[in-house]
Amino acid sequence: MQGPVSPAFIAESIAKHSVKTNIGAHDIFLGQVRNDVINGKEVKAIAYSAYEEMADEAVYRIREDAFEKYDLTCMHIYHSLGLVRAGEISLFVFVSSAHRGAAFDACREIVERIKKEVPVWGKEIFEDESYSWKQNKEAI
Amino acid sequence: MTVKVLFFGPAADAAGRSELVLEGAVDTDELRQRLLGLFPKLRQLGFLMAVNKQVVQEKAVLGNQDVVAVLPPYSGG
Repeated sequence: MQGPVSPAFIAESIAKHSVKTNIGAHDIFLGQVRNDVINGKEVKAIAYSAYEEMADEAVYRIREDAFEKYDLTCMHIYHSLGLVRAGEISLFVFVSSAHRGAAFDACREIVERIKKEVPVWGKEIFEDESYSWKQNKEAI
Repeated sequence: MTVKVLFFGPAADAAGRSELVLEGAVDTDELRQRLLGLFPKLRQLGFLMAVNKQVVQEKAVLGNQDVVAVLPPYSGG
């Protein structure tokens, strides 16, 4: 989606699941843009770009694999493109299942795979409009 | 024979462009060497290549009109 994931959008997504009464557990991961300080300059936003066709295919594969491996009721994945300011949400993963175990396990695995397999790049923009390319860390 | 090369993220910065049409590259190893020669800044970056949206880990033969993406390490999320 273009720009940040709004809290209202997330709330609405949760509300939409009230009709699915076979669900017993939701797990939600929200990635928020952090104001890292790099060489003395503070990140004020990240501009995300992607190889969109390939990213769509990668997300599709991750979804299919997760449904096959875990007993899930539904799953939603949203990643921002374009500008997201520090403090705003850039990744929203929402996994639902009958019981918590599958939801917890699947959510973690999906987030880790998104970071590894989806061709998205973050450009960290500083207060003075200069930038550097974001480097992802291993899961910590 | 021509291939279209797409540059993403920091690779687009290093190449100073987002795409390029190249003639005569027979496989991905040769293409990689040509790209490194044309755009030396790509050396520091490190990148994988995807041929027609499939990431290739080993040398792959290129066909006419293939689309090759230059993919630096991902940094989504």
